[in-house]
Amino acid sequence: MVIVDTTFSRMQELVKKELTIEELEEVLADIGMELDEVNGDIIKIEITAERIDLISVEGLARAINSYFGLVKGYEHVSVEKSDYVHLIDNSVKNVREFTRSFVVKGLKLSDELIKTLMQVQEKIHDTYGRKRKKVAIGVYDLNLITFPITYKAEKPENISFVPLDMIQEMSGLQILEEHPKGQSYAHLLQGLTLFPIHKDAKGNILSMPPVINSHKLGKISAATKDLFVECTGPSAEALDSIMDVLATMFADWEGTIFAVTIKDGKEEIICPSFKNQEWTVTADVVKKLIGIDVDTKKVTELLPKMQYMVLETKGENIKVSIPSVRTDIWHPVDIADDVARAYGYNNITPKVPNLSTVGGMLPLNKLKEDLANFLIGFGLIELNSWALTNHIDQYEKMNLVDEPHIKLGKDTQDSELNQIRSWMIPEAIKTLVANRSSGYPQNVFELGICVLPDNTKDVKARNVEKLVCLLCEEKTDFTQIKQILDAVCNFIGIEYAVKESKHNSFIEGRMGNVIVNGLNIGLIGEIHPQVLDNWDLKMPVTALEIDLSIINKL
Amino acid sequence: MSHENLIAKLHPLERQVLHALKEASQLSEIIKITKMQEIEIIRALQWLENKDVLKINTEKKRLVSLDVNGKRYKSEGLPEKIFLSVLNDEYKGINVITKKSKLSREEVNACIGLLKRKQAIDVKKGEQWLEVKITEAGKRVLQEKSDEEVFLKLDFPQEEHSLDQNVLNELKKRKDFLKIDELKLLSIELSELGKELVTADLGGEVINRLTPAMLKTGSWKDKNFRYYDVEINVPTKSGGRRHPYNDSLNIIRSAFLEMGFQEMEGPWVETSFWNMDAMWIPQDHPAREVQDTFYLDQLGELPQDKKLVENVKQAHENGLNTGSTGHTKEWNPEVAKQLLLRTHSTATTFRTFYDQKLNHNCKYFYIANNFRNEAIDATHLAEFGQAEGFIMGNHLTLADLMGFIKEFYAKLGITKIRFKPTFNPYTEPSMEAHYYNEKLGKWYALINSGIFRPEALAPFGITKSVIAWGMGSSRIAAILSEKNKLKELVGPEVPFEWIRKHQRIKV
Repeated sequence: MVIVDTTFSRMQELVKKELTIEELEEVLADIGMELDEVNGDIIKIEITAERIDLISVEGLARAINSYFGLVKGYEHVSVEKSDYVHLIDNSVKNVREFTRSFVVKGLKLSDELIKTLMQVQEKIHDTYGRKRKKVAIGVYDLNLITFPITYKAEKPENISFVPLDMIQEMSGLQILEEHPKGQSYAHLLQGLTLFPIHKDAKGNILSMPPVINSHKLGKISAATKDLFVECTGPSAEALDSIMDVLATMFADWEGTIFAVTIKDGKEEIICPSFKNQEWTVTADVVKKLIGIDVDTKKVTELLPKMQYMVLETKGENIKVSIPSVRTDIWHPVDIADDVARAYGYNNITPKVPNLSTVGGMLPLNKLKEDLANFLIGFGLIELNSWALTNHIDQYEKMNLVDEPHIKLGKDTQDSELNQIRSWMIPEAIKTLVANRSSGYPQNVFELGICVLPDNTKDVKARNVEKLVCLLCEEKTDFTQIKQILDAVCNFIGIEYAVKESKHNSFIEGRMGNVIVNGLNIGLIGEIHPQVLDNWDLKMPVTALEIDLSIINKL
Repeated sequence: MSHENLIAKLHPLERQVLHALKEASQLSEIIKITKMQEIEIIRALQWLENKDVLKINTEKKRLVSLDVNGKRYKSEGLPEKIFLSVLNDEYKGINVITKKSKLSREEVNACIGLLKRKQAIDVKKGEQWLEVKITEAGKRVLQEKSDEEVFLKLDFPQEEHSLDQNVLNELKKRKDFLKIDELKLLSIELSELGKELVTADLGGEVINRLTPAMLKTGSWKDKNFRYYDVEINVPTKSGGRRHPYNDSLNIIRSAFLEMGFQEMEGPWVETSFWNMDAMWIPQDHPAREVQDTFYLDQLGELPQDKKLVENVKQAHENGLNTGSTGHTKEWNPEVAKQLLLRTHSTATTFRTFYDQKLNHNCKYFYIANNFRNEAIDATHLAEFGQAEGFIMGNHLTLADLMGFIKEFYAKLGITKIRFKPTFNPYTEPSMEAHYYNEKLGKWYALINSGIFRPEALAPFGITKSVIAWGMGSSRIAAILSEKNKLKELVGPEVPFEWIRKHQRIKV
């Protein structure tokens, strides 16, 4: 989700009819966007990330004007011809393959608009631009640069210019090491022997994409009237779309757009291209997917509300042109959905699917439910602990060194999480610790999942369903917890034996493994006082943990 | 309350005490007559006082009784008398005196001090010991009965104020001589009602608790049952309880089962293949970033089925004969091998498509936990419950999806719903449903849903259409159990008190 920050007055300026906040909220919801916040004149609109064309208030206003029928289809941006040339040198082919650019003249910039421009640029970078990997945009004062511009790759040590917000010239490598932006985006150039740059006819470096612009050429102020706008990336289609989005925005800022000829080897591309996509759709596709009764005529009426141009209708086939700024059309279903949005989701009559099937629970879940309802009969309270935990709680506090478990990677946002639980008892004890002031007895159980390493599986792990019971009160002892085990096994209908064993979490001589059909399905015993001390729990605990996944297969 | 009713409700203890009150008005007397324990009598008296039968007057008394030494002196005589009795006109060393008198060193010293003050003895320093002889005054002291001896003759305990205060103060100074207890003395004053009750016929023996023995012998037949005060408050009692969160999940599960859904299941640890690639999430999608997903430092395996993997690859790269353009980017099988903690149960939906070879009319659901890489606080949890489900059938539409959602939520008591288009990489159309929270006066997102894209279904050979959804089951549980903060609803910090006292969830 992406937030567009703007004002209601700016929106009103752009929408071709008188608007109330309620109407704005409704039309945004109909299109699939959300008025997230209203604070005086300031409004925040949440857009879905695939609609890159709506990332500016101008794009949103265009969509609203079409939805209201105030503009039929899509209002085209006029592009002036020019002699501007942007060369792509062969050296960038294995570095960062493509660039696109255009020129805009006669802008009346203000500090406010410059801020908006920065925001739009950053939002494109962070979303569609995949943090500059897919698209990186640069903007320059046109009057400081001399055409033709060349996009080429050079050895980093040979690159030298003053990057944005610096006063000294720096080499390509220095920028990556010392400039804050360089540090943030260094990974995108990692391992490359050549770094991409834009250079003008006088040999001035405009920028080193996707990292940083030149301080001299790339600094924009309210006095700047004419801009050179470029972007780079590995996908030409993505760049074309972004140039179209930006050119549209600048046109709506009342600037005049001038085309730049991109020379890529023998190929010449005029940018911005505004190369609309053409698709064919039928009323039948809409009917079958959306469930509304529409005919060809109705569909051709609805399409322009979502900025489509209907080119021609031949029998059932409707040929449409889709603005180039729409990067989210892969299949006719995408068009059918836009027809549904134009129709209004809340105008669709819901119907219950006419499909008769027989329902059923998984046997294991039935077992778990039966056990839970059985155990509350013993006065036990059901718990719900977390499956994500850490090594200290799972093992160290339990007097253990380590056990097989699934580690999380190192990029966890919560520093206390570094593994999935491999057993339940520690997490259940955590609940007792949090409830020390809740009054005793605290006799509890939980039915939960642990994950254990398993190399026979494609995911190298398997879920294990467990039952854990803890009795925590002054007079709890092994007999009491074994009574629970005995009752549970009797209830399930399995024969069990407890075989004396040793486990560091339990008092020696008061612990055993639970054996069913010769398989070890769990453990039972009195928790070691050292463990209780580690958890700072001043009440004895007896515990039982058994594997229901094994039992379920018996 | 009528007398009969009052009498019928009398507890056996009350009856016994009432009987004693015919002649007694002091607690000590009641104890003597009834032979009951003091605590039982006091309890019965308090009950009777609550019924306005009597009034309990409390009086504080200080009672003096003899302590260990006092009792000994009472029988053996006072030490100063014994001391004097072993003296004569000759000076004797205190070693001799101590031996003869059998007094302790401490007592001897006390006697010397006391008798010197009364001039009953003369003391001089001998070669080795103090030496003592009796005086004329001493001989008189020996003859006369002292005040202390008179005091000792009394019957103890005695009320403090009734005693000779001079002697008392003198004796208080002596070690272990006296003991003073402060006592609360209860005396009973019958009310008019009480006076009537005491003389009334209490109807002989009543049954307090019906016992198996009574049933065996039939002895209950000629007796009356004591009436209880059934209107009185009783102490709170709490038994075992299901967790309210699980109660809520069970309501969700029942709703699915009632609508003919089967349950599915799948692993928490997943490959990117099943979590993302299989459903056509592009390999450079922002949702794959490390800050949103728990990745493991390990690779898993792609499905053994080469054709499936190839189909998924084609769907990504060129849309695999669906009429889609695809993502027009090379699909990297290595990326798909990355292991992670499942970020949504849709991973399991796609496993179910494959494992169950689905391409027929069916309905499946799954209530399970998923994970997102978040720092845990009151509203953000790193693991969250999701109720996932899908219906596979012929030409299922957005209208069908809406119908299902309305029907389903009506079962949970949620009726004010509106729909909003949204975007998901693997469904088109994609739709959110929002519900109106009457209490907070706000719309909240409830469910994310849609119709699976052809690019997501084609690799599995599915030719039917599939409507699907994932809803925050934690969110629904929060609505049902009336909790706003998820951390107060699940996890170790949920107070047992809340679980013990939670009301049943009505839907």
